[in-house]
Amino acid sequence: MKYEIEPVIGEYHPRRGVVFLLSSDGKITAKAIFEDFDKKIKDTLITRFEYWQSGKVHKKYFHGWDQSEYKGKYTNCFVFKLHTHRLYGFLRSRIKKHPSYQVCVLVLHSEKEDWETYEPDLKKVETIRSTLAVQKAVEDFFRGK
Amino acid sequence: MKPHWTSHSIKDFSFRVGLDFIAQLDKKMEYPPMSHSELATKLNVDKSRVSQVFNDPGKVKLETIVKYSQALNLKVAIVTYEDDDPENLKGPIDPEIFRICWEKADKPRDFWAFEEHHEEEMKQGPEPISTADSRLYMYGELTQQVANVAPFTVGVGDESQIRLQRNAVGQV
Repeated sequence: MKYEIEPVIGEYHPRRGVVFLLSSDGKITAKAIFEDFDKKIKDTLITRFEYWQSGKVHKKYFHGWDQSEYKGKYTNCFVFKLHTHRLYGFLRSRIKKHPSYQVCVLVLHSEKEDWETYEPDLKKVETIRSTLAVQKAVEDFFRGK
Repeated sequence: MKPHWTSHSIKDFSFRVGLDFIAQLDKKMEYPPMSHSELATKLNVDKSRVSQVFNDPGKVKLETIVKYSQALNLKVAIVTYEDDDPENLKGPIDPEIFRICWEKADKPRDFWAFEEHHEEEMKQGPEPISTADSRLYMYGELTQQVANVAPFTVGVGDESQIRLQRNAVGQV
């Protein structure tokens, strides 16, 4: 399976960026669903990406999971939220050149009505994150920066 | 660098200013928790009207901004600033940045208070900054932006509560 990275925001930001993971793998849905949203939803989500990029903390709009949750299995996972929409992804730092630069790689979209996280979504993200081909795609993206 | 999405039209920029306003209300409504229904009751309007404002804040009237802020014990200021980005390549400055700067300056109520704070700070030297995102607190850079004039943003401030929350979940 081939994986690619497409920047959404922050390609030239000194600290953070948001990217989509692209693939023919049917589980990778974030980009396709995002593209189908109407302009207002897209602009609102982009604004939330930009809030995260700017260092803002706003748990109603986006958050990760710390060591105390799910036995620390999903500390690399991240979610952006809007209404019932959830865009799940994982965080990755650029280790070599600029360790402070971090990307959120958006992987899948999910819809939910309640506040509790649906763990299978996180499991899917974690499985995708740990795939060697995905890690290589992220490394290639960093290399090209 | 391509222009920021808010540079495409006045409508886009206004939508973002509206979203920044709603983000402040959303944060305020986190603690103590308040639902849209409770806010609607306070405002004496339908819940659907509140949802409309929260979901589509680009066309919200100034009067509505003041009304919603007051319902949450907040005041509103419209801040214009010049950020040396006339083509809007970088997008607007988050109004929370202005609020944080105001709070860091001991919440001056007028220019005398601001001057006194500044003199005091000059005597004592700048406060040490040690957070990872110390850029947020850079004093000179931000006050310079506040002092100048250009695009506008809506900032709401609660004198009793707000402080920068950096609880680092999923953050660097």
